[in-house]
Amino acid sequence: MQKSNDTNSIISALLEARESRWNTKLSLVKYGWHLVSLQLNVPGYPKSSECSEQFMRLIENEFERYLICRAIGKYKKEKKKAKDAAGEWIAFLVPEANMGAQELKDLTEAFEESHEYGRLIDLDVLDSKGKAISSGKAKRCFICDESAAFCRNSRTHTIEEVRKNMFHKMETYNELCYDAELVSSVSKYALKAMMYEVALSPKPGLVCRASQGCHTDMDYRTFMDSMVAISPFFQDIAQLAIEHKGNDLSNVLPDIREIGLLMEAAMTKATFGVNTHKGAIFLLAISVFAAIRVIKKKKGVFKSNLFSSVVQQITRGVIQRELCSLKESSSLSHGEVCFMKYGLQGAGARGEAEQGFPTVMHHALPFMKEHFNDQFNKLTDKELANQLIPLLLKIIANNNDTNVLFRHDKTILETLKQKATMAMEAFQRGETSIYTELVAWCNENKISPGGSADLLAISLFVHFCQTDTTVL
Amino acid sequence: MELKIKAQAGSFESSDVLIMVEPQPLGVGRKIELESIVLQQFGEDLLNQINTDLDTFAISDVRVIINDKGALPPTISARLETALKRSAGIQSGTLS
Repeated sequence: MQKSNDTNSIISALLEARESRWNTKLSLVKYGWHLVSLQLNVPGYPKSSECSEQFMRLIENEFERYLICRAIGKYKKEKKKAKDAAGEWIAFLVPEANMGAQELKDLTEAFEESHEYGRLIDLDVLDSKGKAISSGKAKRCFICDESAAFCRNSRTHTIEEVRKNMFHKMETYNELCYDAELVSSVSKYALKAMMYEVALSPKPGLVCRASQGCHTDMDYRTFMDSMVAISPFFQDIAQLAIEHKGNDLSNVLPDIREIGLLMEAAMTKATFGVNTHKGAIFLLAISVFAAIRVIKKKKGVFKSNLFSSVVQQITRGVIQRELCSLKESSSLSHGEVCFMKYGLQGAGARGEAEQGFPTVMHHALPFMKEHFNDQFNKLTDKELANQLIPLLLKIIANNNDTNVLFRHDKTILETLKQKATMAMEAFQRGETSIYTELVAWCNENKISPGGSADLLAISLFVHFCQTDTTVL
Repeated sequence: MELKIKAQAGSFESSDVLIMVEPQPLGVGRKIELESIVLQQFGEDLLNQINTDLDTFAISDVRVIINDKGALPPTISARLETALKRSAGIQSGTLS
């Protein structure tokens, strides 16, 4: 069979790479190390790709944790990474005085066997004398149950078939790990957003760290207990979003609400019946679902305008379906009573969601873009408060808060909005006294803009999605 | 080809083979020591291949030690050729 020059030069490069890799390993162990090498056994060419390198990073970190925890004080994070024509390889080095090579081999085998994708990787042990420690067991083929060496030599499967199978498995695992990371991150943003909101002190009429505001049945501790109780469910919502197939979001709200109901029950139990987070649960549950969809779709990038549009797709028609058909009844929620009385102006959390969070998109986000700097994550508690207070005032000044409408009326709402505007402008000039007066006025008159507090949390949630890069 | 010194080629990496060759006095014949993870299934094929390759280079007195980690036939031939050429002092790299 005549092979092209290209094929020959590839084979030549592979053979040279393997030989020089072997020589590098031999020269490393001369310094008194046992060496564990991690590599992939990809047939054909090229030996590595973006997918395989991502897979290697995951396995590298997992194996290193595995090794550290089972060889405490023996393996001291000495490793060497290299990439050649034969692919990527990583050498983990353990001083020969610390551990026997056979013990090390047993660990690597246990790792390969315990890992669901262990068949894709090769963990070889070379002792400090340059002797390869063999397990004596034949590796299984990726595709069938024969020994891998048998299938390779008898060419049971084509190289293309084996490669396709391997890369598909690596891709699957990469995505699985990415999704888990995404679920964890976005759920954390939701909890963090709620925590920042309630911890902000002082706030007009609202429960905060330093005060109960105008409330008598709840305090900071009630909020902490409630947040702890509802936070695990954000992961369930995130997972729901990960598993959602297709682009049609018109039917997901009932699924989100099922989890939302569990959250409300957890909240009620933790607070002995006080409603601390009903609005926040509704808004954040939809936000978590929408954020995951956006980040997944945009391959790691969060776009706030797309987020807003996804929120709209999820909630399209809720006002028509759920509020317009309401009849007078004693079992209506606060939001529902407000809609009966004030129409669209009193559409509350549902209204915000159905329009894709206009208060957040048109007021809070531009405000944050203008005033928050890239040091936001490093601000002290006090500095953070100085950034969040004007943001909360900006939201209060623009939001038709149904919490205020429900307990008071339109006149009080308008007065509150005007006072918030003035307090914000003064606060930004460095005059905090008008804000202090607003806080006192709200506390005395039992005005608690809880809807605006929820939107502050949503604004922060969006901010975390936009700026936190751990998952991207 | 005239072998002059002990030489080796290849590696103990997976799917590769490590081959050592040693010149032998005239008339001793070929001593082939083969270790392979596929000895049972492919041992005979491997030996035939090594002998055919040695025929090609007209080498009749030699000791060849083969430690095979599942290399495919073309790899084995390439490694053997390099080891022989290194022994004969006509090649330093793998295929050059």
